[in-house]
Amino acid sequence: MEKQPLDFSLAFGSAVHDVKNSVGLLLHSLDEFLKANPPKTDEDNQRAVVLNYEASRINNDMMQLLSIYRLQNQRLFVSVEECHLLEFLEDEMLAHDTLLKMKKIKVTVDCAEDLVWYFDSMLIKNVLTNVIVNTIRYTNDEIRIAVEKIADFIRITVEDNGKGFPKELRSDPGGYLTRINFNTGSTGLGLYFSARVAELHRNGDREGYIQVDNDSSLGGGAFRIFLP
Amino acid sequence: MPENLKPRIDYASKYVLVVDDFSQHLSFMSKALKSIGFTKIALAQNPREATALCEETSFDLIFCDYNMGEGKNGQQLLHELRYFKTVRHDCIFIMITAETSREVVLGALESEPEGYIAKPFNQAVLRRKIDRLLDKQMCLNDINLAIEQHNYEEAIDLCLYVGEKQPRHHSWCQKTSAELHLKLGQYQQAKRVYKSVLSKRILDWALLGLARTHIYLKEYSEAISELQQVLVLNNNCVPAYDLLAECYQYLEDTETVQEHLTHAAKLSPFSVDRQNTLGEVCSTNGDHESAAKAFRQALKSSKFSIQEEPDRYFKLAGAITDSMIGDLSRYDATKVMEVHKLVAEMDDRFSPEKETGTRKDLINVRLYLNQQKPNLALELMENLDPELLADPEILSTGALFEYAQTLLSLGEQEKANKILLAMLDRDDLTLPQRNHSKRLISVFEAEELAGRARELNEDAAKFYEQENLEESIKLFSEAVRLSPRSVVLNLNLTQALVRVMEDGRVTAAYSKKGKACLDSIGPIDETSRHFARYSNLLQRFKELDSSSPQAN
Repeated sequence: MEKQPLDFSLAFGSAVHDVKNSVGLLLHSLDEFLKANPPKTDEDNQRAVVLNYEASRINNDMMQLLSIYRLQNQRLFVSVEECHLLEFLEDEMLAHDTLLKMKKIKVTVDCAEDLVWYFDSMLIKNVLTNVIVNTIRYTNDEIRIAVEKIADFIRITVEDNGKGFPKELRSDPGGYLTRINFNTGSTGLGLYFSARVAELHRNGDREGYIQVDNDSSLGGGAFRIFLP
Repeated sequence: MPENLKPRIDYASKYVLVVDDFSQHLSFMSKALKSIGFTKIALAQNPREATALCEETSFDLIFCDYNMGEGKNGQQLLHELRYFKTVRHDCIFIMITAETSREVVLGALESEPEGYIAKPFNQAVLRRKIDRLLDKQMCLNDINLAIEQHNYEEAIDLCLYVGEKQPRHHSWCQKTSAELHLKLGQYQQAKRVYKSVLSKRILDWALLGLARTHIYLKEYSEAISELQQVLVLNNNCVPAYDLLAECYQYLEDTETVQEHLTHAAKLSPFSVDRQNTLGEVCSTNGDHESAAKAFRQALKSSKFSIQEEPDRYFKLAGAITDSMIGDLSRYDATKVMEVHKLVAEMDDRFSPEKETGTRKDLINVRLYLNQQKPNLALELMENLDPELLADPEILSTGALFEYAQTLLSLGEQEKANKILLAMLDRDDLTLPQRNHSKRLISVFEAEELAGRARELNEDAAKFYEQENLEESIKLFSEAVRLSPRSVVLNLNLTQALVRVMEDGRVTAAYSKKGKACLDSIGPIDETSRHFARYSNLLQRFKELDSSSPQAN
């Protein structure tokens, strides 16, 4: 075999692949374990929540790092396909089922039965997974996901009844990476990623974007992504 | 959260296969499928095991990991299973993907799976995915049944009906109906469907479909521009490269065909047919090294499958042999060994056919030529099976190309040409083979014409020296007609014309001819060795031309 210089993206990609396999099995084993041994005390329940939440976060961060690396090297392509939104969102919520049940969070999905739209389902799933995992952490006990068609865009809203987004995250969600603050515990990487993924979605001269504010029907924070 | 969409699905009766190289994943999938209610679950650790299982059992559902380490990936396995019909037409194939592989997976390759599921996923998500796909299959069952029974008109009507009634399948119905229109040769209808999709949104499947329609209608430049648009959206789109190659085959631009097929083969290297076509087009372009590479891959992928055949061994052996054509410096003992090894291996794997011996001899003739042993080559040539060569019609296309190539190597161009011309009448000749044959003929013709033009040029030059300008112009003109792009011939003719005009015979015919010559040469680069002569003649011609009675 001819020796080739190691391609960073390839090495990184295979490491991510490996980590994702591990995290997948970890989450699955945890699910199974909890099914067989339901937590008896609140403390145990809390520990299980932390385990699940942290594993999901590792998974999200790996995905985002790889995508951002590709973004910067112009190697991230958007593959637009037809998606049935209700199915898409219900699938997404099922993926968080264990965590939602453990934290006793009430979830509502408001979406018309036959709504179909065009986007890169894997990229948008990454965006939503990240937003939802964060919302699960910060909400009080309620999450609402709503989809509406507004003019030539589709708007997906994720809102909660927690304390809402801090001021520095609300103003300029796209510019986060330039001023990451590791002290607050929220690096803004997720929002930076979301903003870039939204921008990559274009139809004619329209471009996707995100909105982050506390204008929530549940009283907490609201994340909105608009896709043309 | 809604528990389940549909009433009971009979999971227990369905045959399921899971393919993954990661054994822990296999056991996770197996457990998850069992708790959903499946009972007939088969597991495979690699594509080879999967293929073997598919030959035994007719599966309803296949889950396959995309990335399976070395060898074939999930996409290639899917393509192969469908290509050889190892799976039923209604078998549901679900690709399990990780983030890292998505750009090659998504809609870029020849066969699309019915569904994707991204890692990591839990049992609830898996169950939903299965239910949805089974539900979709039920909804579209009538359409698929009509297609299977070749009732395309009926299937198109059903597509319209289902598409309107069920918005979530609308896009599938549009795509399918357009494809059916193409099958029925209803190109305008297909065009209408694709264009109406594209008027709302640029989608790659619609662009590909429209391009395919334009190819059927022989509108290649439209097809090419649509395919380039697809590549802007997704430059890993294998079908786009394949279709571009097809366009350029029709346009007989085999260099560009090679370029696009090389791209496609790099993205999807296991398709035997594509590697074979790539090898053929490389030979057409005289790029024998690349041809050998492609034929080697084709042989490797076809080994131990029904696509393995003696022709593949010969093609590879021939390409390796031809890559050594020329002087002795290109002679390479290891390559010669490889050729002999291939022939021996083929003997080992196949019983000899009528033409086997002759094809071996033809390769040996060229090997002798490469070794600069023309006597041995000629001797072997004389001992070829006279019965076969008396009636080349009974030889296979592969063997005939071998024969023509060998004759060309021996300088027997006229004989080769006769065979190649006769080959063009064969019905089974593919487009790449047709182009290959044409190219070999035109190489011969170009050389032939160039030779004749050289003779005319020499005779014309003699008349010119004898000041017989009229006669020299006549012969130079004839030489230019045979070899119109030759700079030297055009300059010679111009010079004779300028001389005749300088002698006072400025006629409209001469000046028109002179202008045509100069146009076909120029503008000429300053570094060219012809530049000085060209500028001189151009200057002199312009002066004469302005005094021409016709020029105002």
